[in-house]
This record gives sequence, structure tokens and C-alpha cells, in this order.
Amino acid sequence: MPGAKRDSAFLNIPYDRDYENHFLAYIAGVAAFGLDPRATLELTSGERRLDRIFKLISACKYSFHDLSFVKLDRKSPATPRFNMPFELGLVVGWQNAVPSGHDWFVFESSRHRLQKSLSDLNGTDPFVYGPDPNGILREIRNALARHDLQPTAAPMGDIFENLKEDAASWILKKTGASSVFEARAFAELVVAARRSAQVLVPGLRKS
Amino acid sequence: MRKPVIVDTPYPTVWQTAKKMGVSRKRTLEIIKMVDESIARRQEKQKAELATARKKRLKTA
Repeated sequence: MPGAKRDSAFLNIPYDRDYENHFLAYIAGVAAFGLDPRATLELTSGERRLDRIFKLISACKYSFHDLSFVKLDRKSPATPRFNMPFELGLVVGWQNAVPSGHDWFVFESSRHRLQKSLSDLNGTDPFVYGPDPNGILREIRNALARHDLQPTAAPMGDIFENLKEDAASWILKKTGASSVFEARAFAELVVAARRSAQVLVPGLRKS
Repeated sequence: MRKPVIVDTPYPTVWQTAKKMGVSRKRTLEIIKMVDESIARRQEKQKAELATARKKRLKTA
């Protein structure tokens, strides 16, 4: 995979206020495994958006696709957001056409929902995390493993708590961002998660 | 259930992550301070809660 960062994971998740804690859980979980999360939030204007999305995905060794928010929105006209399944489709198509060792994972909040929403993926086991964002941490532990330092539930939970209880509000205040779904806030959350992991994952405690 | 995928890349440092994410050195230092203080506070709180729970157990024993 030329140019792919082995320590980067693309997060394909909804940017929705109801989903903020889920978003922080993904950042915490991925950071605990030594991966830096990347997201389309980082993209600035310039080339065609689709090209930039693909460039970002293909620069990551892993991708996490949460399809739990594929549902009708409240604003009229009620429309489902297709971005998440579309980006998953980009990855699947890319890996089928030019296999390059990119690992992708489908996350869902409810069992059997994927069979209904995207039956083309029958045969692919989604990681079902349930109603609580803490379930995302558990499912990331089911999706990934490390031979050197296997992050356990406790430090992952602590990294998540740190982001949720302290770092997110501090970063929003300091950056003036209105939500965690802004590029600068996201970048700083990733750095905060990396520092938390460095302090909290046993065996990583060095400066 | 599929087998977990093995991550074998070394953990990046805070500085490597900050560089990748375009966060300045000054700001990274502030974030490090904030995170360290937050973790220290949480650990203090956990210690205090443990001590209280221990005292309660001793009283009831």
C-alpha cells in the first residue's frame, strides 16, 4: 500500500451531535491501539471532495465504518445520509480491485440491522456495540490486537473518560469550536487521546 | 466472528501525532499539561473513593 500510514485509521462515522460520545469513543479506542484516527473533518477545500476523501482513506491502513446512523434525519425533506455506506463501498471496491492490505471494519449498534440496511454485506460480521458508546471500546478490542501491549478495558475506558469529561470541553473552549466535529477540535482531540494513551496504557509510560 | 487484526506498528509519540495532525508545538505542550492534570485529578479522586470504601468496610466488619 504505497503511502499508506500503518499507524493511521480512517473513521467513517456520522458528524451528529447525538453521536459526540460515540465519536470520542472511537478516537479513544483507536488511540489506545497506537493508531491515529483520521476523518474527513480534516479535509479543506481544493480538489474535488471525493478525490480528497479517497486520498485520505488510501493513506490509512485501517478503516472503521459505523453504519448505525444510516436513518432518516429530522430536517425536511427527511433523507438518509448515504455518506457512510458510500465511503464503505469505496473501500470495498478499492480492496477488491487493487488489494493492498487495508483492513476495514463495519460497526453497528444493533444486531441484524446491517442485514436489513445493506444486505450486500451478508457474510461480513459487523462489530455490534449496542446502545452505549462504551461498547465501541469493547468492539475495537475484538477487532484489533497487539502482541506487544494489548490495551485492556480499564485504560481504554480511562482514555475515553478523559476525552469526554475534560479534554473535549477544554478544547472547545480554547479553540472556540462549536462542536467536536470541527477540524481543529478533532486534531487536538487526537493529540489529547495520544497523550492519554501514553500515560494510561501500561508499558507506554515514558515522557 | 473474525479473528482480530494484529496491529504491529510502534506507538507514535505525542509529537509525531501532533505533527501529523498539524498541531503546533506550543499547543501540544498545553494539551499535554491539560491531559496530565486531568488524569492526576481522576487518580486522586479514585484513591479517595477507595480509601472511603475501605474505611466503610472496616467499620462494618
